Amino acid sequence: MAEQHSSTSHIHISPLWLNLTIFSSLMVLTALTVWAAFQDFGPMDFTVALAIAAVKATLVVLFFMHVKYSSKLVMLCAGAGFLFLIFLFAFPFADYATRPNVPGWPASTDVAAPLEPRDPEMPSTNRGSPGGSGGSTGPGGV
Amino acid sequence: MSSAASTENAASAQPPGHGHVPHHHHPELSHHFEDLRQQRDSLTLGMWAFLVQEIMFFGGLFCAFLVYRTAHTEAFNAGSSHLDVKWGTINTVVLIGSSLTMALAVGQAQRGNRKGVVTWMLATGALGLTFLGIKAVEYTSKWEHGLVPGRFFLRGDHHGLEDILPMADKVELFYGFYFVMTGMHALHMIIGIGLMVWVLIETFKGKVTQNRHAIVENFGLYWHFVDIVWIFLFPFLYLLGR
Repeated sequence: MAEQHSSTSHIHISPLWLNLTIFSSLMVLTALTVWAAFQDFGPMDFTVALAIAAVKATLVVLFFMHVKYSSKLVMLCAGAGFLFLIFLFAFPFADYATRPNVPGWPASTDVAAPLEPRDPEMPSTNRGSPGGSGGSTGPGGV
Repeated sequence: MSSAASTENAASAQPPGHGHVPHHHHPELSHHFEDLRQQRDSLTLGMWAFLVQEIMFFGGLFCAFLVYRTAHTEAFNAGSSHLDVKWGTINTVVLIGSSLTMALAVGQAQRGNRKGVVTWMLATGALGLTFLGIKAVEYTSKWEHGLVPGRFFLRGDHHGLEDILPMADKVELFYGFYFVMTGMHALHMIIGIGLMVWVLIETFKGKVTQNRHAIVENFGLYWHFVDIVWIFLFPFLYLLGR
Protein backbone atom coordinates (compact mmCIF):
# COMPACT_ATOMS: atom_id res chain seq x y z
CA MET A 1 0.00 0.00 0.00
CA ALA A 2 2.45 2.58 1.21
CA GLU A 3 4.85 1.64 -1.56
CA GLN A 4 2.09 1.98 -4.15
CA HIS A 5 1.15 5.42 -2.95
CA SER A 6 4.66 6.56 -2.19
CA SER A 7 5.82 9.19 -4.60
CA THR A 8 9.44 8.60 -3.65
CA SER A 9 10.17 7.36 -7.13
CA HIS A 10 9.15 10.78 -8.53
CA ILE A 11 11.24 12.78 -6.08
CA HIS A 12 14.63 13.96 -7.14
CA ILE A 13 16.96 13.77 -4.15
CA SER A 14 20.13 15.67 -4.94
CA PRO A 15 23.17 13.53 -4.07
CA LEU A 16 25.77 15.02 -1.76
CA TRP A 17 28.32 15.42 -4.56
CA LEU A 18 25.87 17.56 -6.56
CA ASN A 19 25.16 19.89 -3.61
CA LEU A 20 28.89 20.21 -2.93
CA THR A 21 29.62 20.86 -6.61
CA ILE A 22 27.03 23.67 -6.74
CA PHE A 23 28.38 25.13 -3.48
CA SER A 24 31.96 25.00 -4.79
CA SER A 25 30.92 26.63 -8.07
CA LEU A 26 29.21 29.44 -6.12
CA MET A 27 32.38 29.93 -4.05
CA VAL A 28 34.55 30.10 -7.19
CA LEU A 29 32.15 32.61 -8.77
CA THR A 30 32.18 34.71 -5.57
CA ALA A 31 35.99 34.80 -5.70
CA LEU A 32 35.78 35.65 -9.40
CA THR A 33 33.40 38.57 -8.91
CA VAL A 34 35.55 40.02 -6.08
CA TRP A 35 38.66 39.65 -8.26
CA ALA A 36 36.85 41.22 -11.24
CA ALA A 37 35.77 44.17 -9.08
CA PHE A 38 39.40 45.17 -8.60
CA GLN A 39 40.19 44.94 -12.33
CA ASP A 40 39.38 47.83 -14.62
CA PHE A 41 36.99 46.73 -17.35
CA GLY A 42 35.81 50.30 -17.84
CA PRO A 43 32.10 50.44 -18.67
CA MET A 44 32.01 46.61 -18.66
CA ASP A 45 32.48 46.50 -14.86
CA PHE A 46 28.74 46.50 -14.31
CA THR A 47 28.06 43.92 -17.03
CA VAL A 48 30.68 41.55 -15.58
CA ALA A 49 29.25 41.87 -12.05
CA LEU A 50 25.69 41.36 -13.32
CA ALA A 51 26.64 38.36 -15.47
CA ILE A 52 28.43 36.56 -12.61
CA ALA A 53 25.54 37.25 -10.21
CA ALA A 54 23.06 35.97 -12.81
CA VAL A 55 25.02 32.72 -13.23
CA LYS A 56 25.14 32.27 -9.42
CA ALA A 57 21.40 32.93 -9.09
CA THR A 58 20.67 30.46 -11.90
CA LEU A 59 22.67 27.74 -10.15
CA VAL A 60 20.76 28.34 -6.90
CA VAL A 61 17.36 28.36 -8.65
CA LEU A 62 17.97 25.23 -10.74
CA PHE A 63 19.75 23.02 -8.20
CA PHE A 64 19.26 24.27 -4.62
CA MET A 65 15.65 25.25 -5.35
CA HIS A 66 15.12 22.09 -7.45
CA VAL A 67 13.46 23.96 -10.33
CA LYS A 68 15.40 21.71 -12.73
CA TYR A 69 13.49 18.76 -11.24
CA SER A 70 10.14 20.49 -10.62
CA SER A 71 6.91 20.30 -12.58
CA LYS A 72 6.54 22.34 -15.77
CA LEU A 73 3.97 24.50 -13.96
CA VAL A 74 6.56 25.50 -11.35
CA MET A 75 9.09 26.22 -14.12
CA LEU A 76 6.50 28.41 -15.83
CA CYS A 77 5.72 30.25 -12.59
CA ALA A 78 9.39 30.88 -11.77
CA GLY A 79 10.13 31.80 -15.38
CA ALA A 80 7.20 34.25 -15.43
CA GLY A 81 8.63 35.91 -12.32
CA PHE A 82 11.96 36.56 -14.00
CA LEU A 83 10.28 37.58 -17.28
CA PHE A 84 8.24 40.25 -15.48
CA LEU A 85 11.37 41.31 -13.61
CA ILE A 86 12.89 42.08 -17.02
CA PHE A 87 9.76 44.12 -17.90
CA LEU A 88 10.07 45.93 -14.55
CA PHE A 89 13.57 47.05 -15.55
CA ALA A 90 13.00 47.55 -19.28
CA PHE A 91 10.20 50.11 -19.10
CA PRO A 92 11.65 52.59 -16.57
CA PHE A 93 15.08 52.32 -18.22
CA ALA A 94 13.64 52.88 -21.70
CA ASP A 95 11.82 55.89 -20.25
CA TYR A 96 14.78 57.49 -18.46
CA ALA A 97 17.19 56.70 -21.30
CA THR A 98 15.06 58.51 -23.87
CA ARG A 99 14.13 61.63 -21.90
CA PRO A 100 16.22 64.59 -22.97
CA ASN A 101 16.58 66.40 -19.65
CA VAL A 102 17.60 63.78 -17.12
CA PRO A 103 21.23 64.55 -16.20
CA GLY A 104 23.49 61.53 -16.10
CA TRP A 105 21.45 59.54 -18.62
CA PRO A 106 22.59 58.95 -22.20
CA ALA A 107 20.02 61.21 -23.84
CA SER A 108 20.89 64.02 -21.45
CA THR A 109 21.73 67.21 -23.35
CA ASP A 110 21.72 70.89 -22.63
CA VAL A 111 18.05 70.94 -23.54
CA ALA A 112 17.28 71.29 -19.85
CA ALA A 113 19.57 74.25 -19.38
CA PRO A 114 17.41 76.98 -20.95
CA LEU A 115 14.31 75.54 -19.33
CA GLU A 116 15.67 75.30 -15.82
CA PRO A 117 19.01 76.83 -14.93
CA ARG A 118 20.49 74.86 -12.09
CA ASP A 119 21.54 76.75 -9.00
CA PRO A 120 24.90 75.48 -7.76
CA GLU A 121 24.28 77.12 -4.39
CA MET A 122 21.40 74.84 -3.53
CA PRO A 123 22.36 71.26 -4.38
CA SER A 124 20.34 69.74 -1.56
CA THR A 125 17.01 70.76 -3.10
CA ASN A 126 17.75 68.27 -5.84
CA ARG A 127 17.94 65.42 -3.40
CA GLY A 128 15.73 62.48 -4.19
CA SER A 129 15.28 63.20 -7.86
CA PRO A 130 17.42 61.45 -10.44
CA GLY A 131 16.79 64.32 -12.77
CA GLY A 132 18.31 66.73 -10.29
CA SER A 133 15.38 68.97 -11.05
CA GLY A 134 13.48 69.49 -7.85
CA GLY A 135 10.33 71.44 -7.23
CA SER A 136 7.71 72.05 -9.85
CA THR A 137 9.50 70.23 -12.64
CA GLY A 138 9.99 66.51 -12.05
CA PRO A 139 12.45 64.42 -14.05
CA GLY A 140 11.59 64.85 -17.66
CA GLY A 141 9.03 67.52 -17.03
CA VAL A 142 8.85 70.37 -19.51
CA MET B 1 -4.26 22.37 -12.70
CA SER B 2 -6.79 19.71 -13.72
CA SER B 3 -4.91 18.73 -16.84
CA ALA B 4 -1.69 18.47 -14.89
CA ALA B 5 -3.44 16.37 -12.27
CA SER B 6 -4.87 13.96 -14.80
CA THR B 7 -1.48 13.26 -16.34
CA GLU B 8 -0.05 12.59 -12.89
CA ASN B 9 -2.85 10.12 -12.24
CA ALA B 10 -1.62 7.91 -15.02
CA ALA B 11 1.91 7.99 -13.65
CA SER B 12 1.15 7.21 -10.02
CA ALA B 13 -0.26 3.83 -9.17
CA GLN B 14 -3.75 4.02 -7.70
CA PRO B 15 -5.15 1.04 -5.82
CA PRO B 16 -8.00 -0.65 -7.70
CA GLY B 17 -11.44 0.55 -6.69
CA HIS B 18 -10.05 3.78 -5.30
CA GLY B 19 -13.04 5.77 -6.50
CA HIS B 20 -15.51 3.49 -4.74
CA VAL B 21 -13.87 3.69 -1.33
CA PRO B 22 -13.70 7.40 -0.53
CA HIS B 23 -11.97 7.07 2.84
CA HIS B 24 -9.43 4.56 1.67
CA HIS B 25 -6.75 7.11 0.93
CA HIS B 26 -3.20 7.63 2.03
CA PRO B 27 -2.97 9.04 5.58
CA GLU B 28 -0.51 11.73 4.45
CA LEU B 29 -2.72 12.81 1.55
CA SER B 30 -5.08 15.72 2.19
CA HIS B 31 -8.55 14.89 0.89
CA HIS B 32 -8.65 17.74 -1.62
CA PHE B 33 -5.69 16.39 -3.60
CA GLU B 34 -5.78 13.56 -6.13
CA ASP B 35 -2.53 11.96 -5.10
CA LEU B 36 0.72 12.64 -3.30
CA ARG B 37 2.44 13.99 -6.36
CA GLN B 38 -0.30 16.51 -7.09
CA GLN B 39 -0.23 17.49 -3.42
CA ARG B 40 3.51 18.06 -3.51
CA ASP B 41 3.44 19.96 -6.82
CA SER B 42 0.62 22.20 -5.57
CA LEU B 43 2.46 23.09 -2.36
CA THR B 44 5.60 23.91 -4.36
CA LEU B 45 3.62 26.00 -6.86
CA GLY B 46 1.97 27.97 -4.06
CA MET B 47 5.36 28.81 -2.57
CA TRP B 48 6.66 29.93 -5.96
CA ALA B 49 3.65 32.21 -6.43
CA PHE B 50 4.70 33.90 -3.18
CA LEU B 51 8.34 34.04 -4.23
CA VAL B 52 7.43 35.65 -7.55
CA GLN B 53 5.89 38.61 -5.73
CA GLU B 54 9.01 38.73 -3.56
CA ILE B 55 11.08 38.91 -6.77
CA MET B 56 8.97 41.89 -7.88
CA PHE B 57 9.30 43.55 -4.45
CA PHE B 58 13.11 43.39 -4.41
CA GLY B 59 13.13 44.04 -8.18
CA GLY B 60 11.55 47.45 -7.57
CA LEU B 61 14.29 48.32 -5.07
CA PHE B 62 17.01 47.19 -7.48
CA CYS B 63 15.42 49.12 -10.34
CA ALA B 64 15.28 52.36 -8.30
CA PHE B 65 18.87 51.82 -7.17
CA LEU B 66 20.12 51.35 -10.74
CA VAL B 67 18.16 54.38 -12.03
CA TYR B 68 19.78 56.64 -9.43
CA ARG B 69 23.16 54.98 -9.81
CA THR B 70 23.08 55.75 -13.54
CA ALA B 71 22.32 59.39 -12.78
CA HIS B 72 24.94 59.76 -10.01
CA THR B 73 27.51 57.09 -10.85
CA GLU B 74 30.48 58.96 -9.40
CA ALA B 75 28.82 59.63 -6.03
CA PHE B 76 27.45 56.07 -5.79
CA ASN B 77 30.92 54.66 -6.53
CA ALA B 78 32.41 56.94 -3.86
CA GLY B 79 29.80 55.78 -1.36
CA SER B 80 30.37 52.14 -2.28
CA SER B 81 34.13 52.51 -1.76
CA HIS B 82 33.45 53.15 1.97
CA LEU B 83 31.73 49.76 2.39
CA ASP B 84 33.93 46.93 3.66
CA VAL B 85 34.52 44.37 0.88
CA LYS B 86 36.10 42.00 3.43
CA TRP B 87 32.91 41.74 5.52
CA GLY B 88 30.74 41.66 2.39
CA THR B 89 32.72 38.73 0.97
CA ILE B 90 32.72 36.83 4.28
CA ASN B 91 28.95 37.31 4.53
CA THR B 92 28.49 36.04 0.96
CA VAL B 93 30.42 32.88 1.86
CA VAL B 94 28.43 32.49 5.09
CA LEU B 95 25.07 32.89 3.33
CA ILE B 96 25.87 30.57 0.42
CA GLY B 97 27.14 28.11 3.04
CA SER B 98 23.76 28.35 4.76
CA SER B 99 22.10 27.57 1.41
CA LEU B 100 24.22 24.42 1.20
CA THR B 101 23.19 23.28 4.70
CA MET B 102 19.55 24.11 3.85
CA ALA B 103 19.76 22.02 0.67
CA LEU B 104 21.15 19.16 2.81
CA ALA B 105 18.26 19.60 5.30
CA VAL B 106 15.75 19.29 2.45
CA GLY B 107 17.58 16.18 1.26
CA GLN B 108 17.16 14.65 4.73
CA ALA B 109 13.45 15.59 4.71
CA GLN B 110 13.02 13.83 1.36
CA ARG B 111 14.48 10.71 2.98
CA GLY B 112 12.17 11.10 5.98
CA ASN B 113 15.12 11.49 8.33
CA ARG B 114 13.88 14.01 10.92
CA LYS B 115 17.13 13.92 12.92
CA GLY B 116 19.06 14.95 9.82
CA VAL B 117 16.55 17.73 9.12
CA VAL B 118 17.02 19.16 12.62
CA THR B 119 20.83 18.93 12.44
CA TRP B 120 21.18 20.70 9.09
CA MET B 121 18.51 23.30 9.88
CA LEU B 122 20.29 24.20 13.12
CA ALA B 123 23.49 24.61 11.08
CA THR B 124 21.55 26.83 8.66
CA GLY B 125 20.22 28.92 11.54
CA ALA B 126 23.70 29.30 13.04
CA LEU B 127 25.06 30.56 9.71
CA GLY B 128 22.06 32.90 9.35
CA LEU B 129 22.72 34.38 12.79
CA THR B 130 26.42 34.74 11.89
CA PHE B 131 25.37 36.73 8.83
CA LEU B 132 23.16 39.01 10.92
CA GLY B 133 25.95 39.45 13.50
CA ILE B 134 28.38 40.57 10.80
CA LYS B 135 25.70 42.88 9.41
CA ALA B 136 25.35 44.44 12.88
CA VAL B 137 29.13 45.00 13.02
CA GLU B 138 28.96 46.73 9.63
CA TYR B 139 25.95 48.90 10.59
CA THR B 140 27.71 49.95 13.82
CA SER B 141 30.80 50.94 11.87
CA LYS B 142 28.69 53.01 9.43
CA TRP B 143 27.03 54.77 12.38
CA GLU B 144 30.39 55.56 13.96
CA HIS B 145 31.69 57.01 10.69
CA GLY B 146 28.58 59.18 10.28
CA LEU B 147 27.38 57.36 7.17
CA VAL B 148 23.80 56.73 8.32
CA PRO B 149 21.48 58.97 6.24
CA GLY B 150 19.43 61.60 7.99
CA ARG B 151 20.26 64.34 10.43
CA PHE B 152 23.38 62.57 11.70
CA PHE B 153 24.87 62.07 8.23
CA LEU B 154 28.54 63.16 8.22
CA ARG B 155 28.36 64.26 11.83
CA GLY B 156 31.63 64.60 13.71
CA ASP B 157 34.99 64.82 11.99
CA HIS B 158 35.16 63.82 8.36
CA HIS B 159 38.43 61.96 8.70
CA GLY B 160 38.80 59.58 5.77
CA LEU B 161 35.63 60.84 4.13
CA GLU B 162 37.13 63.85 2.31
CA ASP B 163 36.39 62.29 -1.09
CA ILE B 164 32.62 62.28 -0.55
CA LEU B 165 32.23 65.80 0.86
CA PRO B 166 31.79 67.54 -2.55
CA MET B 167 28.84 65.27 -3.40
CA ALA B 168 27.62 64.48 0.11
CA ASP B 169 23.89 64.61 -0.69
CA LYS B 170 24.22 62.04 -3.51
CA VAL B 171 26.40 59.79 -1.33
CA GLU B 172 23.72 60.08 1.35
CA LEU B 173 21.27 58.82 -1.28
CA PHE B 174 23.56 55.81 -1.88
CA TYR B 175 23.58 55.04 1.84
CA GLY B 176 19.80 55.40 1.89
CA PHE B 177 19.62 52.62 -0.70
CA TYR B 178 22.27 50.64 1.18
CA PHE B 179 20.33 50.67 4.46
CA VAL B 180 16.90 50.10 2.89
CA MET B 181 18.04 47.23 0.66
CA THR B 182 20.30 45.45 3.17
CA GLY B 183 17.74 46.25 5.90
CA MET B 184 14.87 44.63 3.96
CA HIS B 185 17.17 41.69 3.24
CA ALA B 186 18.12 41.39 6.93
CA LEU B 187 14.42 41.61 7.89
CA HIS B 188 13.74 38.67 5.57
CA MET B 189 16.50 36.73 7.31
CA ILE B 190 15.10 37.55 10.77
CA ILE B 191 11.64 36.39 9.62
CA GLY B 192 13.36 33.32 8.14
CA ILE B 193 14.92 32.44 11.48
CA GLY B 194 11.51 32.86 13.14
CA LEU B 195 9.96 30.53 10.55
CA MET B 196 12.80 28.09 11.13
CA VAL B 197 11.86 27.77 14.81
CA TRP B 198 8.32 26.88 13.73
CA VAL B 199 9.55 24.32 11.16
CA LEU B 200 11.82 22.76 13.81
CA ILE B 201 8.88 22.46 16.23
CA GLU B 202 6.77 20.77 13.56
CA THR B 203 9.68 18.44 12.78
CA PHE B 204 10.02 17.52 16.47
CA LYS B 205 6.29 16.74 16.51
CA GLY B 206 6.93 14.19 13.76
CA LYS B 207 5.00 16.11 11.09
CA VAL B 208 7.82 15.78 8.55
CA THR B 209 7.79 12.47 6.67
CA GLN B 210 9.16 11.04 3.47
CA ASN B 211 5.85 11.67 1.72
CA ARG B 212 4.96 14.99 3.28
CA HIS B 213 7.76 17.45 3.92
CA ALA B 214 6.60 20.56 2.06
CA ILE B 215 7.08 22.63 5.22
CA VAL B 216 10.84 21.97 5.08
CA GLU B 217 11.03 22.19 1.30
CA ASN B 218 9.12 25.50 1.10
CA PHE B 219 11.13 26.99 3.94
CA GLY B 220 14.19 25.97 1.93
CA LEU B 221 12.82 27.79 -1.13
CA TYR B 222 12.37 30.95 0.97
CA TRP B 223 15.88 30.68 2.41
CA HIS B 224 17.46 30.17 -1.02
CA PHE B 225 15.50 33.15 -2.36
CA VAL B 226 16.92 35.38 0.38
CA ASP B 227 20.36 34.05 -0.58
CA ILE B 228 19.75 35.06 -4.23
CA VAL B 229 18.83 38.61 -3.18
CA TRP B 230 22.19 38.86 -1.41
CA ILE B 231 23.98 37.42 -4.47
CA PHE B 232 22.86 40.59 -6.32
CA LEU B 233 23.15 43.03 -3.39
CA PHE B 234 26.78 42.14 -2.74
CA PRO B 235 28.27 43.11 -6.14
CA PHE B 236 25.93 46.08 -6.71
CA LEU B 237 26.52 47.71 -3.32
CA TYR B 238 30.03 46.60 -2.35
CA LEU B 239 31.89 45.93 -5.58
CA LEU B 240 30.77 48.38 -8.30
CA GLY B 241 32.62 51.25 -6.65
CA ARG B 242 36.00 49.52 -6.77
